[in-house]
Amino acid sequence: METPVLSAEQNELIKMPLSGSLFLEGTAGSGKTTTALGRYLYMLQEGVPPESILLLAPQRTLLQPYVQATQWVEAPPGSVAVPATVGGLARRLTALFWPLIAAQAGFKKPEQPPIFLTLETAQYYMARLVRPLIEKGYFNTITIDRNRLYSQIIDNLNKAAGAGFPHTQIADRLKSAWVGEPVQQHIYEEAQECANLFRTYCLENNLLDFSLQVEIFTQLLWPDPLCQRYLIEEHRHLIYDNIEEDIPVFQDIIRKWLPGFDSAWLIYNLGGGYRTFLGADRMNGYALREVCGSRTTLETSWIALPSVAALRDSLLESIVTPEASHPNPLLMDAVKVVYRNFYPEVIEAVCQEVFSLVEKQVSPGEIVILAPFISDSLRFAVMSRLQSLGVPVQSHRPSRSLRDEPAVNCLLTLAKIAHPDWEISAALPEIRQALMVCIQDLDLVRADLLARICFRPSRWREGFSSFDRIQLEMQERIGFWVGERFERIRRWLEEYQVGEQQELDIFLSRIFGELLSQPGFGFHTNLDSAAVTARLIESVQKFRQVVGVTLSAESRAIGREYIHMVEDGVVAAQYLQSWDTTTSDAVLIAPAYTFLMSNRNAAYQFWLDIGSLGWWERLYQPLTHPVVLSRRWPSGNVWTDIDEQNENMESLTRLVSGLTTRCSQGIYLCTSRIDQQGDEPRGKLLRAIQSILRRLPNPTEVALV
Amino acid sequence: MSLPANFQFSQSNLHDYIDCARRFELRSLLQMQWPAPRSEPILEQEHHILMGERFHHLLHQYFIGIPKELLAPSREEEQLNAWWENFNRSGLLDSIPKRVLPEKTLAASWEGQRLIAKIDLLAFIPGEHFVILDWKTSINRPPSRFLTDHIQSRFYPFVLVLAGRSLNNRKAVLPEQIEMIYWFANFPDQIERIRYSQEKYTRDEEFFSNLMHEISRLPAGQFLATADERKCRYCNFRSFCERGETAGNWREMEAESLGVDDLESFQSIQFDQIAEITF
Repeated sequence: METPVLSAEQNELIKMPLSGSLFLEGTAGSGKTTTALGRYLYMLQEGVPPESILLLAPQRTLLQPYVQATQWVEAPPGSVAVPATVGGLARRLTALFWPLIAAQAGFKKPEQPPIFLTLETAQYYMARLVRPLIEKGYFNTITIDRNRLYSQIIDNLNKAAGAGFPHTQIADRLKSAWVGEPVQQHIYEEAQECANLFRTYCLENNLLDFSLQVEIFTQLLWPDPLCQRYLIEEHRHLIYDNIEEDIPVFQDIIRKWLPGFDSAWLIYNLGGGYRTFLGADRMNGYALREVCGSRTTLETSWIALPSVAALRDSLLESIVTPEASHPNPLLMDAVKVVYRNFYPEVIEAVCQEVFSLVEKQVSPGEIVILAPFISDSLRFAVMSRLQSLGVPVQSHRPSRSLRDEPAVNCLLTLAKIAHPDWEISAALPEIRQALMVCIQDLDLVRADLLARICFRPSRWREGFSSFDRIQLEMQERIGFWVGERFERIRRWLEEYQVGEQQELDIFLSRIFGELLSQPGFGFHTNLDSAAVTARLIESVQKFRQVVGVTLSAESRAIGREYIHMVEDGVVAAQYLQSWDTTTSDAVLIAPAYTFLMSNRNAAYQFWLDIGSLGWWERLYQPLTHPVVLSRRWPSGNVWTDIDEQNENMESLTRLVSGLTTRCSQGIYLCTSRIDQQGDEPRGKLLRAIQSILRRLPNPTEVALV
Repeated sequence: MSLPANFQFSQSNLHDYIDCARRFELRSLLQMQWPAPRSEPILEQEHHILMGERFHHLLHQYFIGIPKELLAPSREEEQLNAWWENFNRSGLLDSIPKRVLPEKTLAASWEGQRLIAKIDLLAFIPGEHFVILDWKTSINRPPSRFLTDHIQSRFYPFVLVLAGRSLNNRKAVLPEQIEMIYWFANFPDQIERIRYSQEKYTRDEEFFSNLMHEISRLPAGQFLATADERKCRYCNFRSFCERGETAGNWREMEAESLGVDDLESFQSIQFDQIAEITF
């Protein structure tokens, strides 16, 4: 491990007595986590048993430095500390102490083990329960994708559990804050009914979504003497990083638990609180400051240059009071502007500038390209252009759907052909695409010919016809090597159909291993496709293991149901990846919030589409509300346009502050005269930037790219 | 090639290396995902593994103090019930120290490398006796010689000597104080007890030192696939290495191994990776 340079203040903190509690606060880049890691190592050196140190953070990526610390070669021999999220701890304890609390929690089959739901499987069950209601006319006054509708009902349950109020109060809270059309009140009631149905179904079937895990942990496990003894005996010291990003009921438990620790460090990121939309409560986290024995603030930024700090301060002032701001001219050293007429020109200029930075020996991993949202087209445009310039690039969108991957489409298309009794037809373009992915080096023209000749959409149940039956002249045109591989695929599927039908994940694993990863086929030595296939199989397998019993009882094929769910967009195969963005030394393209939550820094940031309203407005969520369903919202108060305006202002300043404090060298502000919708961009962030530029003493000296 | 930062040697990845250096490289160094079946029939094997996992969990619950009467599996879970009954009847607990630590992970740095051992149950009397217990739910009971020579029987006691000081009032745990017990849920009376000794420790010191040096000095591309191609029938990388198309039968694999209830070595996919990402 590289020994970081520490200040005298940090060293002093690290060597504090191994007793008492400390509230350590500071902005991003002030060295809080580095100090906490130093403290962890110091505790080990002082003979504290590692397993007695609880390392907590609200999200796995935030735990990454601690995970690495537990693997340090320098660590003394002994047991191992386990870094965990409180959510992960709640799940582990629920599984462990299940026999003690299952009946008390209201589960109808307490003698049977719990079934933990993922977001995917929770959405699936929600869909099963809500779909019949939609057909009856529920939610008919709103226009929204079904999967978003289901996820917002789940989100409501999570927010209620996270804030610590009964889930039965969701509608009342939303209704009391609503001032618009009365019909919306009815929508909230319908959402409440769906949430109640879901909860009842979970209790009847031993299903535990996140909200139930939280409630069980906070209401039953924590108060249980055996569980509490287990926790307190096991963990004598605490390091809890990024407390501002956790949900309030978890922060409450830490408040109660605090006197039970020999020593505790609570670490608070000033300016953080990015996970509000997931129920995080930074104010409640900050209130823990009062119960800590000592408090310290780390003031110095180890990252940002004075020019970047000047940009941050000027931007924050300009967002709040654009007409009265006094920009610091120092910021000009940190800012470059990319301005073109049209958006594609902006993308091209950004890619060229990235290329030029890399040519000047800037490490690609020190460059990030950020936008409020990353669409598929934007991702494709930036990635393909940078790749053509020879610049390594990675994208990260936690919600990127597996169904967007060609390898997944190929595999699911073959699954349809292999299972005609599922009655899911495959279309010609799908077949053509699947053949191109399956057969190594097969081009579009030959794939199209082969698909048209060997597959009849009207007789899709019959699958592929033989290559040998094609006229010799056409065989030659397609290529005999293609024919040979195609025949192997056809025969494999034919033989599969003769045998006993297998579960979808097993079918996928077999066709991958026995055929598609063999020499001559598209997955052979293709590590990316293999990784995507592994994720798909894992997703199907989890789906089967959780919902298999339910579907079997109804004589429904699990594979068929899975494909339907994916195609309907109900379960969009949004098999969440981690928020880890530190995988390689490559330029990162990511949504701004994803970058913030990965808790990493970058030398250069490109902010795309600064005129977009996405930097300012929150997502349209007609069934939920992140503030009204939080603790800080006074029950019965009405949510007005002013509240909305204030909330957006707060979010934007937090976002800008977070990004700038994670930037060491410079920020490229990128926009076009005409945006992607053909309009002139007018977002709040753009206006704040324009205001700054206008008020600089020499605005023409701002660097244009 | 140099090992990745924070690489840790475990009995599982060392076993991989001894079996097939190429598999070790692909799985542990490159962390390559290759989702082909390891063996067939997959569902039957998966069920067996899940039952094994449930059994380990059940014993974990028991050893943290959940009353026995609350733990009995439901009647429908015949296999799990039988294992639980076997455990309760075996009298195993009468023959081990009373102080126990379930699911204990020990780690130590040795010769510049990090070694890690995940122990099902550690029963001990400080200064006197340390018993490493390992639950096996395999359908076969391997011969004693096979167990004695198995890398797990060497690695776990070795790590305990290196890392056990914190459990022994800050004094070194002596090899003679260590015993390894394999308890077979399907063969409850055929307990395998393996005593450790200074002689074995000295032998293992040399063995692990040579092995880890060999691995850490091997250049990329020199991790060769096993010459025993029968092993490829039970390896998910067989198509990557162009060593065949179809997977072998898991029952045959079990007959030649310590069983597939070792989830760490079996699963290329970690089922619990996504569970807590919701928030």
